[in-house]
Amino acid sequence: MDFQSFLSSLPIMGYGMAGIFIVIGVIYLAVAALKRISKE
Amino acid sequence: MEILYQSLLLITWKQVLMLIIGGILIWLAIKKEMEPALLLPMGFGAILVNLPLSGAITQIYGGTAEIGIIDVLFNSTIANELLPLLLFIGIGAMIDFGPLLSNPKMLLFGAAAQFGIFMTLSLASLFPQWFTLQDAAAIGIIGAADGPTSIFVANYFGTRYAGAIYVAAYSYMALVPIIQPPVIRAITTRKERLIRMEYVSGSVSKTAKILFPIIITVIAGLAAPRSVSLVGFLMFGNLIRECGVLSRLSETAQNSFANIVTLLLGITISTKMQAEMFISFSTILIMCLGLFAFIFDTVGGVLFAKLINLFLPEGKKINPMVGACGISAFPMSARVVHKMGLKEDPHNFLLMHAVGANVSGQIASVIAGGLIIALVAR
Repeated sequence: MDFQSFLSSLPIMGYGMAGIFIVIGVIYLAVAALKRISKE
Repeated sequence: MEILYQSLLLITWKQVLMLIIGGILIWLAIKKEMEPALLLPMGFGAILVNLPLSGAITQIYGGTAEIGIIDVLFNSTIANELLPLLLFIGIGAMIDFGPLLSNPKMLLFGAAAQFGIFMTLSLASLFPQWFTLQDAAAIGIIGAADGPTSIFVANYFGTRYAGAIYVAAYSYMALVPIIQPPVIRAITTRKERLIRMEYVSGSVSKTAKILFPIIITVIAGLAAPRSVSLVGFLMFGNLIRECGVLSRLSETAQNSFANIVTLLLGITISTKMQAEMFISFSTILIMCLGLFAFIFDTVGGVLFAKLINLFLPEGKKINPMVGACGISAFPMSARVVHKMGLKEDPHNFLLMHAVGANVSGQIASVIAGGLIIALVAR
């Protein structure tokens, strides 16, 4: 087992999780705005 | 007469083992009804490609290559990512995003429950002697709990472990009712599992339902343009469903079209289950890592719900079990959590919240696939 490889992969985890929360956050805002605009 | 038994003499123990594995997959599909639409074709395909001198796959006979039909199918439908993407049209047409639009907060659990993908990528990186970073990324995507995304990403990276990844992805999706409950119970208290969540069925306008797939495609496409086809085909299917003027196409996409694609997908990916490629220690390791991916996804979703609860007032708290539905595996995960809720309290109906989190997991897993492609160079 190579812990150095594990450690060097951690930034991918950080960027990946941050990226997914950012994209989902933007979608959340868009959906909230969409709901507000398109109320029937 | 020798011609009748010459292939029997050529059979290896690895091929025999693969024939048994094929039999087990068929048994699981029929007897246990575990993802039968995929495990049965995969199981039969495993038998088909592991017979000695099988003409279903490309073989060299007398110095001449004879192209097998399974290889033809693979190169023309999966190597170019055609079938996984087409299947997404069908899946998109099947999904009602209404519960998510009613309660968009559930989107956050879709994000949190992708933790298993990235954690597994890092865990697979512990074994550089077997897995390159690209292999690790392809293994991590098992945690997307979404077959087409797993196929798409594994294929994108051209990993030689594709067969094991496909089998792990589909097997564990079918095993969600067995994997998730003990993990959820281990990290929640009974008091937390008893939390009731009021469901206010806010009316979602038709305009919102039509604009939703378009907006998601644009946002996800801008964030991870290389994977826009993934989310784009999913949302195209959903747009067909919601537009209200293509009901025949929507019905076709949900039924006959999705069935034909699934049928071809199952038998075609079996080309990656040839004994020489499949039987290895790394396959066992991938199966273990795939299991970790599903466990960490569940843990990520549940712990995130618990974290949010720290900031919510009494009466507005979220049942942390709902967080576990952020794993894609639609709709199994929502059903599992709904049943767990009812088991704890027969009057606690979590289904609509669970479905909201579950469909958000479908979107988030596709986005995660796109992010992995963007973050790890091919």
